[in-house]
Amino acid sequence: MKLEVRNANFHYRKKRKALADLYAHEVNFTLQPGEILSILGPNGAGKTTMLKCITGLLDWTEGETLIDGRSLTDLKRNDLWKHIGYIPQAQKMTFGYTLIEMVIMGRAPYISTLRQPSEEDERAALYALETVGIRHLADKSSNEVSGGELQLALIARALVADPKLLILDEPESHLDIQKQIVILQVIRKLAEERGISCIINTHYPNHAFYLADKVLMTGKDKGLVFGTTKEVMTEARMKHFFGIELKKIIFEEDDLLLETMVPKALGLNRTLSNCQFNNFAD
Amino acid sequence: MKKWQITIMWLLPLIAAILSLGIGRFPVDPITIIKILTSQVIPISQTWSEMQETVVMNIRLPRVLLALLIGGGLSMAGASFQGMFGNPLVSPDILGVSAGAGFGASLGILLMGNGFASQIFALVFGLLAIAITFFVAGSQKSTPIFMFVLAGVITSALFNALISLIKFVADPEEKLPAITYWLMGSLGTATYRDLFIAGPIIIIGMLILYFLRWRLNLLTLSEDEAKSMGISVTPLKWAVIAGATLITAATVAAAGIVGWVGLIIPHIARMFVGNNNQYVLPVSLAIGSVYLLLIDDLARSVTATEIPLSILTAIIGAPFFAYLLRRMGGR
Repeated sequence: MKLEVRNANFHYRKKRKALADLYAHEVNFTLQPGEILSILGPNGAGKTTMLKCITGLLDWTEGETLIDGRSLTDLKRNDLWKHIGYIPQAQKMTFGYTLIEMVIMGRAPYISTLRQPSEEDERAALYALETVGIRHLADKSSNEVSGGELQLALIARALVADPKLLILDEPESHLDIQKQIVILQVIRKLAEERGISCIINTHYPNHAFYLADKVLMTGKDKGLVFGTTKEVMTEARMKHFFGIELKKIIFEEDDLLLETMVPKALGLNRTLSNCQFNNFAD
Repeated sequence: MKKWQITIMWLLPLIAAILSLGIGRFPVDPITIIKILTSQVIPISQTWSEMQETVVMNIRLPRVLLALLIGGGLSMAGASFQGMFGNPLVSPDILGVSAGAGFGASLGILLMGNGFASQIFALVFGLLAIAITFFVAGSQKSTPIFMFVLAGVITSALFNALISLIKFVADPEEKLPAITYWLMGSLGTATYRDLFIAGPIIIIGMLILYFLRWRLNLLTLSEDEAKSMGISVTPLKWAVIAGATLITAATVAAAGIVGWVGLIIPHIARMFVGNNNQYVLPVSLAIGSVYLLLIDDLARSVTATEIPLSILTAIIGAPFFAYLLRRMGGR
């Protein structure tokens, strides 16, 4: 599925008066099938709002989203959500459902209003759980499993509707490093093997390096940039958007390439720490 | 759930109903009851007295059927609201319907005595109460759920105050006891007329909730998540509220205010089948109908005078619920 956003912008309203535009200038980008777009930006820069506008959960106040050349507003909601899977941050619920029950909910666009899910829906849900590698947890309550497992289940819930585009709002935040990696690997696998396009909000530059083909960086009055990951993620631009100096680090070993960015401010004074090491060695 | 469990679940209300028809100061054995019931459809040779048939068919049957409908209806309404509001403390009267209907009935009794008029008043004011709740909650495109709850609290407070006012001015010899008794809920005067007024309304409400029961799960998600499943959230909420309101208002019209059933039965159902409303609602219906039927059996047979239902639902329900909560650790 090809996704295009054209000349789009958004502003909130307060007491019927339009507030200032949320983005520095109009949002324009194209995402090809199987491509991953990462949205980066400081808190309050409108990353989540961007996701909502792209999918029509909120309406752009200017411009539009096009899916395979057709305007989003022309598509029926039900059909639209067969193509797009929205994955929010995992949250505990008052009444926990078992993971299988939760994933079946993702079949809603295929189940007419007065109907109950069929065995086929259940099979699809089990298959989706298997895809993300947690089929063995199908009967566990969503309030019993770990945050990472719950996040995987939410991905399965989106997958079960057989989407062409996944929208993920900071899927790896609040998770420990190992769970973060699992989530990222699952997303990459889906893009590579099934050609599912993904749009991901993230706070971690190294996650963008690992996953993203394209990056969209936004920072209110600081501007808006879209391009390939290499183009956009430069030290100068990170400093401009986040206000701190990040150092790009490239690590190569055999055929492995690892790119990341770390804040300079967290570096230690070498002469001092060397002294400490020397003392320690004595 | 397995097939045999489902079968047992639906047989329980039937068995309870047949046994209940025999309970009372004029006992009738179950075999005779089955014969009497069958004879209404296919003619069989009469082995029972006219007296027995009159008691079973004219006095007890409408009452038993109403108890089943009201118990099951309130439980389904409660389960739906608890699911929709994502709050385990919610009961069907949360939006002010019971208070409104209670006021309507009290007003009816005050002006025209206990009868048909007071029932119509109860229905009308029950629906009026929900209208007020919606007006207070506002008509934005998407009203946050807590606004509904707060608006319901306001509406309930208003109508409860009006009920107090009516009690205050009511004739203490005759009207006041009637109103007080009625507000505690009773099926003591249940007739076919009550059944024909309230029954169809309760059944319509039940059908709405029954068919939407799986969709109810989607309402427990956040608004954006629900939308991203391709469902129209607002109409669905309205449909659920409409179903539960019809049930509650009709219940109050037929039997006064019956407390506790709509609160605890859904929790007991969840202990058996988990939180999936696809199962919670039918199981609530089955358990709730049996529960209120048994409560009503006690109400009419323990002492010479009728005991109001709300007293028994709480006295028996509260300790039982406490026991279950402790045993299951609230899971």
